Amino acid sequence: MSADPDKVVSASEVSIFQSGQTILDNISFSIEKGEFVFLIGRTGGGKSSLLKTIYADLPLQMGQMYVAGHAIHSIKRKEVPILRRKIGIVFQDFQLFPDRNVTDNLMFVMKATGWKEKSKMKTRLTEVLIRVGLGSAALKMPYQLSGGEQQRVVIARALLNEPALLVADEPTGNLDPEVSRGIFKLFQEINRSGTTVLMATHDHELVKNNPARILKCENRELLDSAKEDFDLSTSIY
Amino acid sequence: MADIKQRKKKKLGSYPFVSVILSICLALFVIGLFALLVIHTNKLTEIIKENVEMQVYLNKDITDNQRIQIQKTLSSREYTSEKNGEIQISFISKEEAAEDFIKETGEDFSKFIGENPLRDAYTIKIAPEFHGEDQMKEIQADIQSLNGVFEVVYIPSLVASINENVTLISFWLLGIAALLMIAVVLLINNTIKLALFSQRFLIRSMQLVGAKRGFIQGPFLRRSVLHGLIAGLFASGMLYLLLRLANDRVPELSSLQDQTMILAIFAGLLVLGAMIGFISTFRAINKYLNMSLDELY
Repeated sequence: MSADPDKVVSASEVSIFQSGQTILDNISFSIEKGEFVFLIGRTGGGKSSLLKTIYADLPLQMGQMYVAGHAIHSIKRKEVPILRRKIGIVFQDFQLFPDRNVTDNLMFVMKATGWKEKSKMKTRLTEVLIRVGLGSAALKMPYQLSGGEQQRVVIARALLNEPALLVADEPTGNLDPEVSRGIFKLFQEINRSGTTVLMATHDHELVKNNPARILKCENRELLDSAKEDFDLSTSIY
Repeated sequence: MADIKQRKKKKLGSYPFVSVILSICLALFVIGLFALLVIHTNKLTEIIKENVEMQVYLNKDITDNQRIQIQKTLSSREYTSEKNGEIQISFISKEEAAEDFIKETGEDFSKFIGENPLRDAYTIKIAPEFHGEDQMKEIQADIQSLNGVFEVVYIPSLVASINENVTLISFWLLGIAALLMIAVVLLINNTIKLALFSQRFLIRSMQLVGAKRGFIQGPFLRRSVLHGLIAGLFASGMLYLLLRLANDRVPELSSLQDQTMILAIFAGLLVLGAMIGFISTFRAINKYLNMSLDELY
């Protein structure tokens, strides 16, 4: 198996282990460029482990996986930052730095990922803030923003390096339903502009109301709505 | 006020540095002390070694020919040292010896003894490679066997006892320095661990957005090198003050000091401080960066 340029993620006969236990056993799947995919399953069912494997935080010990052209099964430590620059990560607990304003938060990430030219950095900063609908929040401190606005800044931060894949783990978990809808719409807009989105969620309604491909972690297997039908409700909670 | 404190930016790589600087400084001070002891001792033994002598007293009835023969023999022996192409042998006649004695003691013994009881003598300086106790005895026996020699006398060299004491002191100083170094490495290790722990969210965010290791390590390493240099500077300052104090108390000590060597020691301490800081921090930060963040929690 080699990297397919049309696929952002492709996994073949992958088994994922954590603390000596098999979490997912012999799974194979792929995600095409520009797809929107939900990842669902019980807590402890393997969603986070699968995401961690995708962004090379959890070593892949069995099987083969390619993400954005990188072979995860044989990835070298030096290569990991390069992979992560191609993946935008949005987490519930992946917070903004409370001690600096929105601009500084984003600038810091750009510096950390090798941006050098000030003018290009400023242009990119403005672009991503406008894209998430926060063009006027550049100088605000995180505590001056609502939860939904903070999550938009986190998404802006994930978009800085024009990722091939946007990975979101429970991005609306802490938000009220109305704000959640707004954030989800933003993900859809980002997806429409060509970015692949993989979103792990527990939000039953969200999955039901927004038809998209669904991957479900259940009993150490990965079910794929593109290949088979399965019941959503029992799998989510 | 609390608000201002809260808004102060967390600097990546900052850690409580006072204890680290103090520990490195202490270790460097002891190492510097050891180095100073070594250069002082070397100079002292060099001076002593250059002045190890043997007195060769001649028979009273010796003829000039015999005396010259002895001088020739002594000059040709390889144990007689040579300095700037000159054989280190000198002759003191019994008259000169008597004069010197009278000058030194103020008593004219010839008045009550009636004759000069002293003898003609040669003084030879022994080359440093023949300073061993057994070798000195062999030389003594060799000269004693020459026709016309009455007695051969030498003062056992101080070099052996100096070396013995210096070895003992060096052993202790190096032992203390080694212990301090271990303490420094452990302290830096724990300090870096705490710093990484307190900055784990910042580091996790950087790792997740794709910051390279160098970007995370850089600030820690730069700071630790700076702290090592500061510690080296303090240690050099303390040693300088100690030297000045010692020179005030024992003025002869300055004759054993070589300014260039002392400056080289101070420069060495700065470099060593920076190296200790860099290597310990590099080791510690790599150890913790290789952990997953779950483990660091």
